Amino acid sequence: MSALKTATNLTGHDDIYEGLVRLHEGLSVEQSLRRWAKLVLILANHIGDRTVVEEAIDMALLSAMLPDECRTILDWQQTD
Amino acid sequence: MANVQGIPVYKEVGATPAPTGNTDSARVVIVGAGPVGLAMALDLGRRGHAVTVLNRLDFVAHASKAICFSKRSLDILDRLGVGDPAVEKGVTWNVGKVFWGNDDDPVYQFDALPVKGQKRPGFINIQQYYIEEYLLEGCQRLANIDIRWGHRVDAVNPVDDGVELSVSTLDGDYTLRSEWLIACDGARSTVREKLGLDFEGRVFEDNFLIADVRMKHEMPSERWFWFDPPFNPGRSALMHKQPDDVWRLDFQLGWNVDREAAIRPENVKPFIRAMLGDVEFEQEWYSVYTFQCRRMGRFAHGRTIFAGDSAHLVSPFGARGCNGGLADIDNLGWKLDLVLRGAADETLIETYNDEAIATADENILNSTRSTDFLTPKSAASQALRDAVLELARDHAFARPFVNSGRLSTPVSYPASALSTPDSDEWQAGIGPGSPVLDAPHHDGWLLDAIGDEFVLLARGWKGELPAGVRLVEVQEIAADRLGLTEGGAYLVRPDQYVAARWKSPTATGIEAALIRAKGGSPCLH
Repeated sequence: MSALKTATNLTGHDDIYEGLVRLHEGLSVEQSLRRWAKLVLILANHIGDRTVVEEAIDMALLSAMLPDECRTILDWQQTD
Repeated sequence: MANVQGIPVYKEVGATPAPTGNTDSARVVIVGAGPVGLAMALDLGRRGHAVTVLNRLDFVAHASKAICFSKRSLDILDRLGVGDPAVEKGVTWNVGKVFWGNDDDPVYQFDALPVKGQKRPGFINIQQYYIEEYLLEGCQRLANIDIRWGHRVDAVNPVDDGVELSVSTLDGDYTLRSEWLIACDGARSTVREKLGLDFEGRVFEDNFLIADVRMKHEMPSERWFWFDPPFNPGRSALMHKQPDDVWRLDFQLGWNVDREAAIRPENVKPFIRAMLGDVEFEQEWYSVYTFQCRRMGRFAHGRTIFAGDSAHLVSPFGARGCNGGLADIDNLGWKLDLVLRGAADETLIETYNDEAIATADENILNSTRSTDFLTPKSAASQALRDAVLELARDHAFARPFVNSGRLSTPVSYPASALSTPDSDEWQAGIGPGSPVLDAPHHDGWLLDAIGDEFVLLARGWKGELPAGVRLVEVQEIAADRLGLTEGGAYLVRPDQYVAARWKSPTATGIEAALIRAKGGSPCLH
């Protein structure tokens, strides 16, 4: 069973979204990248469960890909 | 002083005459008299085997090579009888500090010896040629070790039950037939090249300047590492204290640099002045290096076995090069000993291949990760690295992400075929496939008491031991570190790794674990 919750698990989505947008106001892309990274590190530490973080990384990785690419990645991970 | 090849000389030895006649034979030939080859020779020599070492050069080189020797390497040197001079000469250190920018307080620090009460420290810094000298002295005390200086391998031909080498010397060439060949001939291994074997991996696009300088300087005996210091903006730097008032300064240069120009004294001086101010110093050795993480697909090829840099290469961050090589010979020595004495089947060598590859892979993994932190490959990984450093300054939770090199520790083999899986529940202690943790033991140390043969570490156990196993009774802290309760015992391999452990062992259980640890099948007995 997956450790990562993927069903809706929050309220106040618009507030959170706005907060995430505001996080980057007035920043260059480079500064913005750094701020994203900080946020991820803070959240990862809060989650405190490496499996959840790794599953989240996999989900982010796969969600940006076409089905064929996903399969290639998964095959590659299995043979690695 | 430098010789004709332009390699600086630490100690002249002089060429060894070629053997009379144009053929010769040996049971074991080791190619390469660096720290790994000499340690291999000494291990097998101490076990009573006739060993022939071939070294292309006829001197000990004085060059910028390995300087950080880990606790595990010191344990191995102790086992080989040369730990004391190394530790007496070396600079002992345990603490590493990582600085960022112009902040005088470290963003992260670590202790390389988290468990105190062990004979050896986390690390010593010492020039590689001193280690070579001590190993060489150990070898020279044994009549069964024959080191041939200025003997170059020109051809390697696997034959039935052995290897045939063509060797050239100043006064003639000869053929040397050997039952076993151990290639400890470094990153540009001649043996590997002559056999046409693979050496796959990654090259990292970065250059680092090493400036070993002699100067009077006060600093604690610690490893200091900087990200983005004012004296090397946007890059990294590393500082290590060595014996004889020699300091290793290491500056990241970036990829597109003129390497030859970078080591000219007039170009090195500004780095040192920027780092240390207006100090007086003498040049010891300057070089620029790039690095690679590579390994061979297999380390054992019939009767030819690879150990050290010939088999695997890592970046220097983490001190996993020479320490990894010493781990190889530690693993191979006792196995080849048993095979040579006919006490184990030749297939035992296959477990060297498995375990040494596990070690190399862990070293390469750690080294690659450190390198990715040091030299981010994209805007996003640069942002991630900088985010870690910024957070680490104020928040303890971010500090463990800071990676300036994860320093060499012994590698465990949880899946080793030689280990007998636990049949009891253990809440503490050392699992099968991991090295025994040192501890005070009577008036000395546990690892010294284990030595280099099979032992049973027992707490109040009485029973009959199989032949070839020595009993070492442990109490108090040594037993506690092993999680041993009254009546329990550990079977320990000659490289001080745990083979099996029991809460209340039986003689047949010990016998079966011993057979298994020697590569046999316990089911047959």
